[in-house]
Formats: sequence, structure tokens, C-alpha cells
Amino acid sequence: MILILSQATSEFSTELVMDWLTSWNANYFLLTGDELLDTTQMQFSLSKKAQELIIREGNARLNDKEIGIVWFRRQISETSFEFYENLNCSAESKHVVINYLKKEFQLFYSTIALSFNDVPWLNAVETSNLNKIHVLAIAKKCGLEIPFTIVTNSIETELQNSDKKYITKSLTDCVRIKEDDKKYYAMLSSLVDNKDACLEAIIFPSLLQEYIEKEFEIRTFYLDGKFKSIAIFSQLDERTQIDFRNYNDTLPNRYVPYKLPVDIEKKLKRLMKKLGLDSGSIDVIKTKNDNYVFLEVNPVGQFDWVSFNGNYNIEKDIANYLIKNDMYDTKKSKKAGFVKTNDTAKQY
Amino acid sequence: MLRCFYTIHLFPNPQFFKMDHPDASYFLLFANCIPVKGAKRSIIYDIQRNNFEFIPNELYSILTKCAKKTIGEIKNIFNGEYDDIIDEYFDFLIQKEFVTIVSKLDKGFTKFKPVYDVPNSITNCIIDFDEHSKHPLKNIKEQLDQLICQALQLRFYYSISPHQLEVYLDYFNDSKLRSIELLMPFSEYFSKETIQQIGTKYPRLLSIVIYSAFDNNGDSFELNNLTVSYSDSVITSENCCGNIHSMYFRINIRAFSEATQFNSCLNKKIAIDKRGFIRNCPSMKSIYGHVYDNSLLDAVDNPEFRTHWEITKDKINICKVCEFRYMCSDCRAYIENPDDIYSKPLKCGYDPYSNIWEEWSTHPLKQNAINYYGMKNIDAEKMISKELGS
Repeated sequence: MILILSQATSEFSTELVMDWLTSWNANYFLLTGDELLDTTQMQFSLSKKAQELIIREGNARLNDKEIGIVWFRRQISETSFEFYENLNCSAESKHVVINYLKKEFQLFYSTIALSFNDVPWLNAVETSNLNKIHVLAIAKKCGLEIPFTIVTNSIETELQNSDKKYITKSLTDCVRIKEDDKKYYAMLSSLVDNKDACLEAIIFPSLLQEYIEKEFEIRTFYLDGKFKSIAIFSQLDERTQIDFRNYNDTLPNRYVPYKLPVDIEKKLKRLMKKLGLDSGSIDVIKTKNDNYVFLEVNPVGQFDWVSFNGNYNIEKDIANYLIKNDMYDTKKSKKAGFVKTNDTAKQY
Repeated sequence: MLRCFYTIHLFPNPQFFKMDHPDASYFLLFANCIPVKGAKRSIIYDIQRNNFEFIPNELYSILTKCAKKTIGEIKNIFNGEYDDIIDEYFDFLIQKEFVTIVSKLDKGFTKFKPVYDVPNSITNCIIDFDEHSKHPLKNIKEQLDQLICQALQLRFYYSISPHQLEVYLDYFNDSKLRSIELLMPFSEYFSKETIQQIGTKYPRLLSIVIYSAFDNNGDSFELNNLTVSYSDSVITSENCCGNIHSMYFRINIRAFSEATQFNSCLNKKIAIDKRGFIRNCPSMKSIYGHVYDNSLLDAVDNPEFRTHWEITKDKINICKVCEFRYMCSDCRAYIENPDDIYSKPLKCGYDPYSNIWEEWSTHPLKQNAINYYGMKNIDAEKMISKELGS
């Protein structure tokens, strides 16, 4: 049986994977972090002899011994802790309390990983947040071209006088900030004004990266050795030139199917192996000089738009992978074989 | 001879900015901008941005046959006689972002693969109601979930009360359906406020079409995900379906992929007619049991039920040379020659050889078929009789 860990909102790709699993009569159980704050009981117990995880939804209990693979998609919706905004205390204390609760929740949630550490996982909770710099260093070792990168709390005068353009982006995940006017501001990549950046001797630690003139960007979804890529023509629109996530909703960037050169795929595969990832979304730039520059990996990145625009049916591949690698469902594994041959046959 | 856009009257006042496309460069046609050739003109389907533009067939040939040539080489094919027109073609293509200009070709760009492969055994279901209908909705809902049905349309041929409608909708509250659409006649009971309440209560409700709405009974409006529209058409039964109209054209990745491989109207569809009979579509003749005696799953499993699913537009006479063929809704229930399942939809007034839309119900050649279906007195919808796009 397949355990799917996801969030309750904005997860259309999880729903599509479940549709495929349903269509092949595969057993699965969906657990969202959101419902653990709401409707579903979960209890982890540790004794001298054994450890046990009990998950209960009403009268139904999940038999943890039946779980033969876990797909970690997402933990919990960003908005699920908003409930605690109603706390009767000062804004500062509220902030502290909510952060504390989030951390407490993390540890509670980590007992799931502890309970299923002897079955395969597609993505893992602990690898969902990668160290960007660490990843760049490994990518370089794998033979991939990377942008000249600086992590610093001070900007040298040579940068000030250089003609080179730099961008800055967050060292960790891009966060969205909600202001009082209910608008969201996302911390996307932006160009650095070389003159401005050097006014202070010490700045807050930042990531600077050489700005690369791109022909187009590539987002590729990696699963089990295979790549499904999309070329993004973000440079045709001023708004998306620096960061395509600064979406233009009225006239979206062109997203078209693309096949990376085999040697780039080989190097990326090596990188994913070294990072211990069976799946993830990878950002690459194709430069005006025909080079492919690796930017970053996001193990839990959104892939539904890659799947949709490339007509790749990534959700079907994931469902197939889960069935194939499910340890405790031999009958279903046979079905997975059937699934594969059905690929070419006309479905009804 | 190369035709410029003027000759197909698409741009009465074409305003092409001069775009940069040096003779030494190549054009890259984006994979989701797909040229489709018709008898007299072609269309670029922009299946990413969900719209389309007419193009001359000459431009279709350039786009499909000259992808590996520079713009200069293309001009040379015509011995430099039509440089201005070719420049105009590329100005247009770049402006619409159908192509981008590149200095060299990149083998990584692949063609769009119009694969239509979905987990759903059934994607859409129609349930028709008249005042006598008594459908076992709880049972139907469970079966639709097993078929992984996504969309449900409830069509009412009588004036239903808001209370009764809610009773029906409540059956689907915990279903896996992603969307529900309603078609019902205008009635005083459905004030804007009532509709808004229903829309808020049932978030899966995406569309309500209210027919027989005369003299400004209401203006179309939107509410969160729900679109409410009013139409002055009179719909008395399933006989009123099957009109081919630009209003029903769909251009998107899914619809395009499905239309190239399957019948865009009948593939993965199921219907329960007002008397409870199971059909592929309420207007199709064949019956596959009754909802009280037979299961929808058994009906779908019956190969006969799926006989029309692979009749693509490429196999239908006339339609196969029509430039609208992959955005058209098609209809296999009402066709020009009831003895030939590959004949054109009866209720289509478009002629791809002349590019002219005519009123189908008065067309002399269609009278036999109209008599056959008993639609003599049908209140036909107003069709666009002039050329679409002009």
C-alpha cells in the first residue's frame, strides 16, 4: 500500500496521481499535514520492545504494516497555521508562538519518517530543503557549468567597479510575505545595483550570482533517471527576464517541450544520485553562447505546469513508479507491469 | 502566388510593426502553436494561450516545410518576388509570439505530442431531467466516482424549483467530481440572490446556463468560480443539442490532443436521458440499459458503447478539410446522412471550401436529414451567417 504525504490545498498534482492509482485499483492512503491539526489522529509510541505509529480517521485505522512505499510530496499548507493568529497576545509573542508551534509540529511529523524507515520513499522529508551552495558545489564536481556565485556579508569594491551584472536571490526558499494590504510579495531573484550594494561595510549575508544572458530557461522534472523538460521563453517579456516566477498572467511566457542534450542529462543524473534524490525539479539556463548552466534543484517543486504544458503526463509516471516500488503489494507490482505495456495501447 | 493577409480579409487594417528578422536567421515555431490546414485557409492553434489566428495556406506551407531554412532561403524559394509579403508574414508571427527568431537551430526543440491519456474511464456525464424524471442519484454518484468522472452536467427541460435543485446537488457533495454545470429554463424563482446563495453553497458549480431568457431577464455575471449566463434560445429536449457554432469551439492542450485522436463529442462521455436510459449521449439512438437495472460501469465496459469514440474529425467527410476540425465540438447524433456515420454534423452551416457560415436548418440539401430526425419545427439557434472573424 502506498502512503501519500501531501497538503490539503493547492495540490492538483497529488489529486491527478491519485486518479491514476484509482484507475489501476492500487491501494493508497493520503495523509495531509493539515488534517493532523484538524480531523486525523496520529500517535507514535516508543517502548523498550517496539515502536508503533497509529493513524486514525474516524473509525478507520491505517495499518502501518501494510505501507510498502511512501511518497513525500508536501508537508502542510502554508495557511494551516493561520488559525493560531487568533491567539490573544501581542503581535511579537504571536510570532514567537507560531514559530514554536511550527517547530513542534515538525518534530511530531518526523515520527512518520521514523516509522517507515525500512520502506522506500519517493522524496524524503529531510531532503526537501537542500543547501543551495552545497548543491552548486556538487553540480560543479559532476561537470555541470554553474554561475559564478558569492555568499557574503560584504561586497568588495571590485564588484562596485565591475561591469559584470549580478543578481541576488534567497539562500534558502523563496518566501511570500503578506502585508497588511493583503498583497503578497515574493522574494524572487533581482538584479543588483552595483553602486548601491556597496554603501555599507557589512551587509546582511546574501547570495550573489553572476547574471547570465539567457537564450531561454529550462525547467526539467526528473524521475527515476528520466527527464521531462520545458523551455521557458522568459526573456521575451521584460517582467520575467530575471525570474520567470514573476508571472505575467495576461500573456504567459511561452512554455514549450524541450529535450536536454544527452551529456547534460547524464551530468544532472549524476548530481541527483549524489544528492540521493529519485525525483525533483531542476532549473537550467541555456546561454546565448549555447552553454547549459545549472542553477538549482527543488525536490518538492511544482511540476503540474511542466506536465501540462509539455503534455508529459508526469502524474502517470509517478503513479506507475509508486506501484512498481511498493514493497508490500506483489499483486499490484504485477499490475504495474500491465500498466507499462498499456502505455502504447489505446486507453478507454 | 503568395497571398498577403488582405486577400483573406482577416485584418481589414493590418498594422504590422516591422519586427527584427534578418535574412540570415531562422524561425522557431513554438511547439504549442500548431498550424492546421483547411481547404481554403489555415489556422494557427495557440493551445497554450487558448486562441487562434487565421493564416493563408501559403504561410502554412512555409511553417511546416521550411523550418530548417533561413528567412533569406525562404525568400529565395520564391525568387525574391514576394519578399514584402514574407516579411509581413514574419512580422505577424513574431508579434503574435507564434515564432521567435534564432541565429541557429536547436535540436532540443521537439514537436508537441498530442497524446490524450487520462486516468478517467469517463470524463463527462450528462443527466437530463423533465418533470417526471426520478433518477437514483446516490447510486449514480457512486458509479461516477468509480469511473473517476470529472465533470457533470445537469440539464433541466422544465422549470425546477431552487429547493429541488439543492436536493439534487446535495447528492454530489462528497463526490470526486471537479465541476458541475447546470442548464435550466429561466424562472422567477432564480433571482440573482438565490443563484449567488447556491453558488456559494456548492463551490463545485462552475457554470449555470439559463435558457428561454427573453427581454433582458438577466445579464450574465460571475461569482468566484461560477459563471452564470442567460440565453434567449428555447431548449425543449435533447433534440436541441448538436449545434456547431464558434461559441462552442475549444482551444487548449487537452481538447486539441483529444480531438486529434478521439471524437471530441463522445469520447469518454456518458449520459442518462430524462427517462433514465443509459446512452453515450442523450441524443444518440443506442441504449445501454436503464439506471435502475444496469450499471454505468457495465455500459462503459461494453465495446459497442465506445464505437464512436475513435471517429476523429480526420475521418469525417468535409470536416477532414475544415480548419476548425481540432477545436470543433462535433456531433454524431445528428448528421447530414443518417446512413453514413462519417458524414458531416447536420447542424453545421460552415463550408470550409468557401469559408462561409450559413443557416443550417434552411439549407436545401439538409432537408431530408432534418425530416429524418423529426426536427421540422425546431427553433434553430441564430447562426453566424457571415464569415467568422470578419
